[in-house]
Amino acid sequence: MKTIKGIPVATALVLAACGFDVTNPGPVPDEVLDDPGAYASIVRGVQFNLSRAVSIDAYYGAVAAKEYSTSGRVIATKLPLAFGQLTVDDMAGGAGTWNWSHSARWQAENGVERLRRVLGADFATNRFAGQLLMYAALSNRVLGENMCEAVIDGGPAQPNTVHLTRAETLATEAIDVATAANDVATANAARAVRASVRLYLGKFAEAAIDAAAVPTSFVLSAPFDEQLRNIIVESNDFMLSGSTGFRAHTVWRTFFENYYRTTGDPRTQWDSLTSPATARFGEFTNILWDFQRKYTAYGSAIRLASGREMRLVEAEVALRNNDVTTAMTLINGIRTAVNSRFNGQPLQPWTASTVPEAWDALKRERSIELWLEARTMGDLRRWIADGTYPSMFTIGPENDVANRIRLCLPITRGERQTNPNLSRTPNDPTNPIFDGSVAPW
Amino acid sequence: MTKTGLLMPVLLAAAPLATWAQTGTVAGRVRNERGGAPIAAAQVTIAGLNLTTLTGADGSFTLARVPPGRQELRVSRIGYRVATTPVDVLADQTVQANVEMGEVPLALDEIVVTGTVGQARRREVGNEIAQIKTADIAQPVPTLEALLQDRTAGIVIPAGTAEMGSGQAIRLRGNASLSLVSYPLVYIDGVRQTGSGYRSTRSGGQTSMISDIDPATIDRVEIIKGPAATALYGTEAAAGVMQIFTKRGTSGRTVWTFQTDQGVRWVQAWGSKPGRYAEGLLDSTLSGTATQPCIALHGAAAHSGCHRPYHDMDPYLRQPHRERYTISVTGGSDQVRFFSSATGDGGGGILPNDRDLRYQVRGNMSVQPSSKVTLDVSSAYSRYRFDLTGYNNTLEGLYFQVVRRPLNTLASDNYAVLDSMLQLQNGQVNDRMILGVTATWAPLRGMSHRLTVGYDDARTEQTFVRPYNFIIERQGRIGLTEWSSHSLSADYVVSQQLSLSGSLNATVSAGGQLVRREEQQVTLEGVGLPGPGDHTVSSASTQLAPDVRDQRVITGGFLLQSLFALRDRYFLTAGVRVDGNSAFGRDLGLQAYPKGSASYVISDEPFWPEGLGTMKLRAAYGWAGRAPGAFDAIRTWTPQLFAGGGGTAMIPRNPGNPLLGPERSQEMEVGFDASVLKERLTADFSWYTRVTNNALFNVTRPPSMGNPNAQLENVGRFENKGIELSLIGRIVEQREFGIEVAASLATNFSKVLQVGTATVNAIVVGQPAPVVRSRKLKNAFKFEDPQFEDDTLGFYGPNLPTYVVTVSPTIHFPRNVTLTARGEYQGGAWISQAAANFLAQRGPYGTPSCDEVYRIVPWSEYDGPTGTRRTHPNLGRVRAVDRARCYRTSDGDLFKWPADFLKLREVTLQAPLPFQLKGTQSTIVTLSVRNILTLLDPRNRSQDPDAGATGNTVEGLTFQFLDAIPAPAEFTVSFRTTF
Repeated sequence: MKTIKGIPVATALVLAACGFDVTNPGPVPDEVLDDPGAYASIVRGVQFNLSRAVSIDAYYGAVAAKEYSTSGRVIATKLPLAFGQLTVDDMAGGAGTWNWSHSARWQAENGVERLRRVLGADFATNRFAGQLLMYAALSNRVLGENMCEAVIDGGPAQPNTVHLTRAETLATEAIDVATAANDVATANAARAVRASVRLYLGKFAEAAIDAAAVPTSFVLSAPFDEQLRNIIVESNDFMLSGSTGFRAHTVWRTFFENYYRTTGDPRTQWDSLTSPATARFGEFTNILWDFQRKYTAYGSAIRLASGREMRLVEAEVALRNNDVTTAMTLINGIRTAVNSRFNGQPLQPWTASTVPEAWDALKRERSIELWLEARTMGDLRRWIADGTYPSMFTIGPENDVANRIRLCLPITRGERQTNPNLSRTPNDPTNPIFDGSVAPW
Repeated sequence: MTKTGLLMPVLLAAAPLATWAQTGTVAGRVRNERGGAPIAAAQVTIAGLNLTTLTGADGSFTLARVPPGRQELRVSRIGYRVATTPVDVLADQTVQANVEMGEVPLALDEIVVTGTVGQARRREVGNEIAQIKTADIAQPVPTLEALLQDRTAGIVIPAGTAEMGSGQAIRLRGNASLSLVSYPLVYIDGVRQTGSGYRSTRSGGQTSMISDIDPATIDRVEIIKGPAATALYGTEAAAGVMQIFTKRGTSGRTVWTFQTDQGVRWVQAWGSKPGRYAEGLLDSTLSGTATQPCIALHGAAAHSGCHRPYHDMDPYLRQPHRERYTISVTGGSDQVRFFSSATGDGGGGILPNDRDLRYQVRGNMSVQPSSKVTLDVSSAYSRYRFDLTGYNNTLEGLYFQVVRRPLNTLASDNYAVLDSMLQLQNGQVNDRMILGVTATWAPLRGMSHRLTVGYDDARTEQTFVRPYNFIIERQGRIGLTEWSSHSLSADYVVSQQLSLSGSLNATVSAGGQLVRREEQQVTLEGVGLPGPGDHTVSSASTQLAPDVRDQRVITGGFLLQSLFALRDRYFLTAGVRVDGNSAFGRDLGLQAYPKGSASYVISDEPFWPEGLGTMKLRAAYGWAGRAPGAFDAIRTWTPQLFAGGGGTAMIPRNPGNPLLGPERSQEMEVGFDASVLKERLTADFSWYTRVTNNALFNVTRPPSMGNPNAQLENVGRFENKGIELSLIGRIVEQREFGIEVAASLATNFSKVLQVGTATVNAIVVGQPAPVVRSRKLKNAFKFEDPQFEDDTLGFYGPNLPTYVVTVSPTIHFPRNVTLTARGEYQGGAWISQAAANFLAQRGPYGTPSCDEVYRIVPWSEYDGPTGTRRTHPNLGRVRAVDRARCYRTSDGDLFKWPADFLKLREVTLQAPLPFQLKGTQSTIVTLSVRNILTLLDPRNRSQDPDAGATGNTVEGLTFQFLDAIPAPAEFTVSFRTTF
């Protein structure tokens, strides 16, 4: 029996000697990100998720804003029921619109808190801290402009302007930190972000001041590459993965179809391929596949903020002060800096002698300048909210955008099903997307 | 040394020679009394003398130095009645003595090892243990899955699909886990298998690892089905344990066996079913007349509900030739035995690019250098190479292009254009090596030590090439994934038998086990090939960032067990295993898994009437676990190369859960083993109830919290209950003719008891786990427009079968001709059809599941109840559910089907050649046909549920239809020659 008693002890010793302390390469433990050497990759992680979010926001939002129309080949979740009409699954069923936007926001805010904790007083002058603050502001702006409601960290639904208010606060701190860190580009980006959210929030004078501080040449873009692809470009291809629509959109029957045809404005370039035809809806036997050419490569960047947009911010503020001359000068200053693809000459300036005409020109130019940048839906939404919804989209039945769907992306089913602070029913009487109603047209 | 001293050894050496000169030899062959099959490894002795030998593979034996005169020859083997026969031995002569042995249906003294520490006699084991012996199964058996399918109650192995290289899932008593793999733990000759399936980056099937084991090399498989029996395997064993024992060789004359199988495969119609309409109602008046196949039609004519028995895949379906060659050799002496085999098999597949080739070699040896030491060495290597056509519901799938035409990737209805998808190259090579050494040492009477050290190495290389100028990517693309998994395991047990009193004995055992598993994966991909021809990833003009993964998990534990035996009929076993796993961090999440069992051989009691047969009552209770993955407990980030951002980006990965632990399942099992009616009816019955505590669910936090990835949490609880009854009845038992029927009934009813904070669509408290659910209609079968029930999702039923019935009759004809059939019924399950609504929404053909509806109201003439065109003259003849799911406004929620089916899995006719080929001992010819007949529930207008699996994966947790071709039928003719 001595032998038997000794065996477990011996076995225990053998196993203990083998050790269970396993270090697995691959996933990075959270605490590693406290190291200053990881800060650049934290910022790039925010960029990565923000690029994903903006790309898909631009893709789906373009349809809601009539920058594009669905042509109905294959969409990830469900074929639209009718030409141009989006369902809740199209708008919010996928992970992209909601999840990645919030992932970018959370990651930026988490990074800010991490650096605040680790750096202490040095936070106020740290370049990465400034960048993370700026991206946190920018992520909140993207959410505020595109989402119907704000939900922060599993909390209750709040007005979308909550995101914009957060963006304003974060951008303010970003400007301070970036300036202290002598990071001019980040400071400019933060000012541009703050200008756009202040415009949305109705703080027009402050918006104009911020915008004026940003040079026209300034650009901040969401980068893409061969692996993180610009979805708007990828969707021109045949479908390469199981989660992306292909040839599912067309310029056909949008404002931009005719506009580009008549002006050659490279900002709204599209091309056409008549064969194969795309889907067939109702009275449309074949929908022409007129595809955008603003972005031509998987790695084509999408602008997030720019000095050109800032001039239009200044123009809009001027117009709200009934200053038609200043507004048109700023608008046409942007416009005539662009040469037509057809004749190489500067685009013809808009003419307006009255405030309503100038509003038309502003809204038209802004929609052209920001085409497929995930901005127009938010513009239309705020203009509707303050009663300045324009008559710019005048062709066909698509002008009735407001009645068809809300100009925002709804809270996803995933959020509703997991967030105890939200109703789990997918039916939202205030949001026609949810009940699937189709306005006659 | 004196002269006498020198002489003594010579005299001693001569003495035996003198004795031998006065003895004779007994030689002969031992056969099964029914059928005459040779019985190997039977012990042949001369009663009262210390003369013993074992029969060889051909049943032959030779006993030399037998004293002359009348002797009693005694032959014994586990599973057979002892046979004795008198022989008259003559000096200097060889006497022939052939012996026939009758089988004992319930061999209580048979040795089993799975679920026990060391080994045990069946009578001592308190849990059910299924043993599948290849000697009892008509060959050829193409795969190990086919060998196991239907062979024991409670095992469910779907037939799978026609996809080349795809494996099959295995379930024992339903799902053991709802988040982790429910595949049983597999041991091969005591060596733990490194995984259940080869990782696949392809959007298709997953090759199972047990398919690397050549069925021709298997001696037997032991299966224990749940924690009541698997406690001693600890963490990982909740889904059951399968132990595969390969052939060890038999002493005696060296025997060679050569076998060749030649076969052909074909698919049977799985598509639309003409003349049938509506949910269990056969109503030919509604179905219209039979129509032409769609494939002959294009355009408008094809919109009218044409017939698609093969989903219009007809031009691509092949009837490939399959071939297989096996040669094996076995032999040895009482001290050294060996078995070695080599197999090559392969052929074409159902689709044009499908082809495969597999090589398997095995070498086993058992050495007994002394009466106290045994050394068993087993080694195996296999290589499986296959190419396959772009498959399944993927954009590169040929099937996808056909069933979704013309709204497919190629935007074409033209088969000449669809042919271009065949340029896609998909290939995979699996390499596998298994080495195992088991040393057994019995230093003292009743004591044994056993140490097994094993190494299992599985590697796969997957390649895909979109060649230059490929239709969906003109610049071309190439990808390579290399994945490997290897495990090093050590297993040690010591047992000591103790005599506590005259009739009370005990066996005390202890041991430990350590398994270290490492897994690596490297994925490379490049875009832009320089031109036609063969290329590597480095040839591509743009190389994407490589994806490299690496992980290591160590599991280890100790076990203790005591078995008490009273009068060799009352047995009580108690044991515990304590396990740790590196997935739980430095504290290892140590868990104790206790077990207890009792068995009672009631038929050994004096009061038991002898004519009543044999019966053992048994009961067992135990715990086992299931561990999460290496990284599941900690909060992690993924370093992602982001060239667009200028470097590496940190992306949130696992939210982290420091409280994470293994799932713990407890099971109670009660049953009996019996052989009654003069051993003509054998019955095994078990009732079981298993509760999985701390069940791991992927808990998704609100995405607004920033990390959309789900986190495993121990928040759930669910149960599985059921009975298992296996019967073998010898209906007719004559010397030259017999009818035997094996049948089984297994039930499995699962129920979710608790989900905590998890929100999983198919996991709902009070419902089966998982349950098929979706929105339902109030008026599904009425001839009116559909009305959905409230927003809450309705329940259809469980996703796994609740009833499985198998019947396998065998008829033994004269001259050893045997006819066997095997059928299976599965009932109670529901299945989702994942892609049908896309076809219905897009048209112009719609989904084949609605073809009979389209014959009444063509797809092109009606858009559905919420579509633009909402009326049609024949609409009154279409039921609400079909209006809602068959047309442009199709709702995917409504494609749910009852998954009941009845299948004739196999019919085999086996006969020996009536003449002996020169130089051979025997030749057996076998004709076999598999998957020949399937009857579906009449309400199922979709396809064969037996093909359903999540992405065809071996490890899929739920079953659903994708765009897949069911497993083909196969006819095989086989010749097996022994020489």
